[in-house]
Amino acid sequence: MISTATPSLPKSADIPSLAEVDASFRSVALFFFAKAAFWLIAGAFLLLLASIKLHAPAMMSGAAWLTYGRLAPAGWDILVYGFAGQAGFAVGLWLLARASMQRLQSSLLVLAGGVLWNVGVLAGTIGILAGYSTGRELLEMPAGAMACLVVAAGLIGSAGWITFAARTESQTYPSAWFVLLSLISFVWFGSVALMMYSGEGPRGVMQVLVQRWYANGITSLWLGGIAAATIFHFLPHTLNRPLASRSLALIAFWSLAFFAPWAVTAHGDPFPRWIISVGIAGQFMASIAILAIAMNWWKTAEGSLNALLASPGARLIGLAAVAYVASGALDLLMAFQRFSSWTRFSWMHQGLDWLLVGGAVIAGLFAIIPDVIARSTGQALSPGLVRLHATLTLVGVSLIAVPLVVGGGIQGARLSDPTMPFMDALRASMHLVRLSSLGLVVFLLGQFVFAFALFGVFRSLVAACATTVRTWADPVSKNRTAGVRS
Amino acid sequence: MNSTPLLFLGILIALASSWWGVLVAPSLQIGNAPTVFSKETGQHYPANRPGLAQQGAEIYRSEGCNSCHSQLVRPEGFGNDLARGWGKRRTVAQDYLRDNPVLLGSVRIGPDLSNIGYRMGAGDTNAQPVMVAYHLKHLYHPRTVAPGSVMPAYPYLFEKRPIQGSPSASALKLEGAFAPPEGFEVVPTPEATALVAYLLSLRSGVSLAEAPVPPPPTNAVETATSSTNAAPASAPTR
Ligand code: HEC
Repeated sequence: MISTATPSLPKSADIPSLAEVDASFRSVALFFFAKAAFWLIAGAFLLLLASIKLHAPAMMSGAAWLTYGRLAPAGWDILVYGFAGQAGFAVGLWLLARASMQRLQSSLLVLAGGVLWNVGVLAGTIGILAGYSTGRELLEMPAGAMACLVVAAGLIGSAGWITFAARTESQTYPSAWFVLLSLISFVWFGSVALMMYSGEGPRGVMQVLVQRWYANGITSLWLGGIAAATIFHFLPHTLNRPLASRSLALIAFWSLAFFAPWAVTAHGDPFPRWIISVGIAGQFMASIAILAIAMNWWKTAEGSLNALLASPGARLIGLAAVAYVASGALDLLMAFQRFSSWTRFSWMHQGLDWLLVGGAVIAGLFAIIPDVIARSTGQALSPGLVRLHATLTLVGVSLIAVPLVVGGGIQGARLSDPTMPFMDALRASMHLVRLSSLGLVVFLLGQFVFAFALFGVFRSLVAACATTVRTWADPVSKNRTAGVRS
Repeated sequence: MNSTPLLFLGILIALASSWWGVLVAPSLQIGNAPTVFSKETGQHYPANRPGLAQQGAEIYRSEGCNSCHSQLVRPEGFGNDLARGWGKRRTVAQDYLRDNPVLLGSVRIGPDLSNIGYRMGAGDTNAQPVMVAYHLKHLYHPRTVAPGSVMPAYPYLFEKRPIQGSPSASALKLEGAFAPPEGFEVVPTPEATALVAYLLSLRSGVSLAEAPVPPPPTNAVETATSSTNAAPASAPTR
């Protein structure tokens, strides 16, 4: 594709061992995963509260910050920025460093970015709950909070690119490309959106186009890129066989990067017709990427699908791969007028979001996170808890996403009869929405298990640290007393 | 793929192309679109929103009403928005030219609100107070007017206070389980009043060249109105 010039490689003496690469992640892994685990619980909790309020709309209605229209966006943004983005950065950098056979460079930049990122998420969440939401989907956080996120992502992303540039491995891997794409994407979409909204801001429906461009860009490239990278790394790794095709991965990479960001419109939008056509054409072109990815993963896994049931991590990565491809397929279906007329605005919208963010991104990240923690800190999460967490996450995400997609289908089918009252169509799908609330409970329980397991790691790290200090301090104090006495 | 600067550049070109295609190029058209003169109303369309209604738009944004309500009517053949009486015609870019923020929404847990200002007996000049009363009651507790509604109640946009002397003229007429205790009344805060002014300003019905309002030979709109909960003004029973 692009040039094949090999970078000048450092001498073999400078090539770190894998263990050294892993060890360079110690503080980053601990910081990012601890914060991410906290946010995941917070986000899932707010979303659960919001979904309960759908069934009991007058419950706790006295407090403005607990109203559905604030809880739901705040909860979702926490899931996306607090967990998926944050854990995604850490996992992405780790994949990148391993693929580059290089220690994480400029880890201070990463930690500074991490602090700023969490400040941004906290400020943004408070902003939404306090009523300062911008009302733009995925961009609800007030501009100040968004600016924090963009700068933070810039710091973290540059460390990633610096690490990649200092690689000691001449061959680059697909997982590394997707991480690099992901690292640029947030900074790009975030900063351009912020700039376009500043001052007078765009006029009329341009406001919507900017929001859709941002939301679509960060879901398909920033989050989707991390999900793809995770699966590209973990699938061959788990099955212990090489990726089926590097050239298919290359096609997937460039078609995703070039076409996915165009898919910003849907049938029936109030935009000039050519803009709608351009967006829908983009959607069709982007499915080349999904097709190439699906074929590649399938050919890699074909014949040893059983291995995908063997361990908690493998099961999660299996779910992630299926969810990634399924959400891409549903996106493609939405580009058809019939399907879009039928399902647009229904629960399928949330179902699709959960499929990608919950299924592909969150499940995919959790397939790798225990490994990253164990290798970088030397302390493994309790295997029993990891297995329990994986099961609860798997069941939870499936119970959330599938009923919403199916419920959306039912709601849409009912609504396609114009004499069917709107509320009756809604009621016909509410039992499935209730099922997805149950899924949220299971999912939330799982995240408590993970937090508990992570707490275990911190405890043993502190214990190990204390032992080190004691063995180091004891002889000193003995010597000193001995010296004084004699 | 082995040269870092080239990979960086490639990604940047990929990302910039979509920015140019879906943001820069459209903004040349939409950013410069003029308001159009409507013979029907003798005014330029769209007009600026009156101050109170604009304040209401901010409440709508801040409460996240767009998490459940859309504001766009799709054309014939793209779903049943028209047949449901959610508008006399599809909505087009022109309708949103003066809106800020533009809250199209992507989910419909509740009905579309593009034309909520027309529903419930529009045209009847006496309808205005009836509509205001309806929306206030609905916001205070949706189930007062729409049994089984899943829309949240917004009691914090109202004040429950002891009646001082004679009851306030703006007090809500609440019955049964929803009524305040004896000696108390429920009055809307300025936020609630502004929000209702905004709702009543939601009207995309002016006939446009690209989206003409078809002549009304059928009673499609009327039958469809009953598919939502809004009672027609001619029957203000609730
Ligand atoms: C949880 C989702 C939800 C939220 C949030 C929500 N609504 Fe609703 N809304 C509904 C549902 C469902 C209905 C239909 C039942 C009813 O009339 O109560 C509805 C109906 C309405 C109607 C009557 C529409 C008609 O055609 O009869 C109006 C007006 C309305 N909502 C305004 C608002 C405003 C203003 C807000 C924000 C303050 C809001 N809604 C927030 C779900 C929601």
